[in-house]
Amino acid sequence: MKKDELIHMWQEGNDRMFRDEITDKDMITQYLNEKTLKGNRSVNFNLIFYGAIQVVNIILLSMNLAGYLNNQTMIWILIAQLVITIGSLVFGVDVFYKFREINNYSDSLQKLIQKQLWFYRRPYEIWLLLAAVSGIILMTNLNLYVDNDNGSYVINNKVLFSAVTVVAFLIFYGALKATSMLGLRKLKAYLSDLQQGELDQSNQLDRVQKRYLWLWVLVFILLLAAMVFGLVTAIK
Amino acid sequence: MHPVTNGLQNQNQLIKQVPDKAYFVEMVYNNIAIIYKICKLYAKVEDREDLKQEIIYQLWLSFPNYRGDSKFQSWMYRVALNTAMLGLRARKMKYTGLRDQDLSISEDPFEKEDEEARVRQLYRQISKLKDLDKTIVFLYLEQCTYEEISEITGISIKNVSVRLSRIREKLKKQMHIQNSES
Repeated sequence: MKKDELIHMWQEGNDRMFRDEITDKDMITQYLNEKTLKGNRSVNFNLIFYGAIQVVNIILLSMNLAGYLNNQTMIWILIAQLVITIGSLVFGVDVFYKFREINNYSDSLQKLIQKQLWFYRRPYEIWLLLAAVSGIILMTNLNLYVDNDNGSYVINNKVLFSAVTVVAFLIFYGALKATSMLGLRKLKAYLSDLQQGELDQSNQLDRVQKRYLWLWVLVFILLLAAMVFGLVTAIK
Repeated sequence: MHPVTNGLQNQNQLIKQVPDKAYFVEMVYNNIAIIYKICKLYAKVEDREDLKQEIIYQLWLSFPNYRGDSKFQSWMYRVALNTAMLGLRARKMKYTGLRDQDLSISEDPFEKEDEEARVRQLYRQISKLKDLDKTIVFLYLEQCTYEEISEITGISIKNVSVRLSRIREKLKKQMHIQNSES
């Protein structure tokens, strides 16, 4: 059997083409250092930035708790926010470890794509919501701290206040979501391209994780409801 | 001599015995051509150095997962291709958005028969394929078996065979190769 001409062309041509490339052992050793990798810097920056916001929120919330100690309604709002913030911090760390786990490049391409898709559809999606809520908590607590009037806080225009809060949340969430859209679309395209009808593994994974997702969503909704209830009570 | 071709014969045994940094570097150095080729297929000229570094770094991170039950090259293909398609650099790029990459194709008609010019032309044609087809044909050109391609991509052997047959025909047409092999 005659050897495929494409393979012949590939072998002969490549041997010539890379003759001038130089990557010696010292260079390879240097590349093993995480700090030399550009991409990691943005991941680390995002992580540090997210962690910093949570820490600032915790500090602000603690200060506001002390400042509004005599305001029963505000105390409940702040406690709900504090629980959400601590939960966000813990969940953020968990997401970071999951992110490292899904990037096990020794898996087959299909398995790796399924893992990454699950990550972006489940824990990362929750993380986006929590990050957006963290932005709102930061904004609210800065206002609460600055406008603290002997333990009371007055909202002059309730409709405007609610509208601004909702818009700010949508902006935070939208901006974060937009950054992950390209990667998600690409993963979906890869998976549909790999094999139509071979999604059993990812579906199974989805089913297993759904229970945990519902638990998280339930806790999140309850805390959010407590916060809104407190705010509404404060407005009245 | 620069290690353009795949190197050591008994490198799989080597890794089982002493899985340390020095040996890892040795293995990657001896198979560095794999990385060059993948970088050329999946990244623009200005991104190739970054991708090369990312692949080597990911290989090192994944090295503890290498159990030595497959060829080192197979494992290296897998990690390197996954990094090229799904890594940090790749996340910022569009799906199959590499069609306009600079492959420094010579248009000189007198170079047409030159092997290097022909392979450049081949790279250009492969770069026009979808990323996954690109992966499959790349592994085929690297003389991986259907089983190996199936393991690396996660798709069935039958699917590999069907896809490969279609891609090869397409490439041959584009490269003006007569279907002479039996």
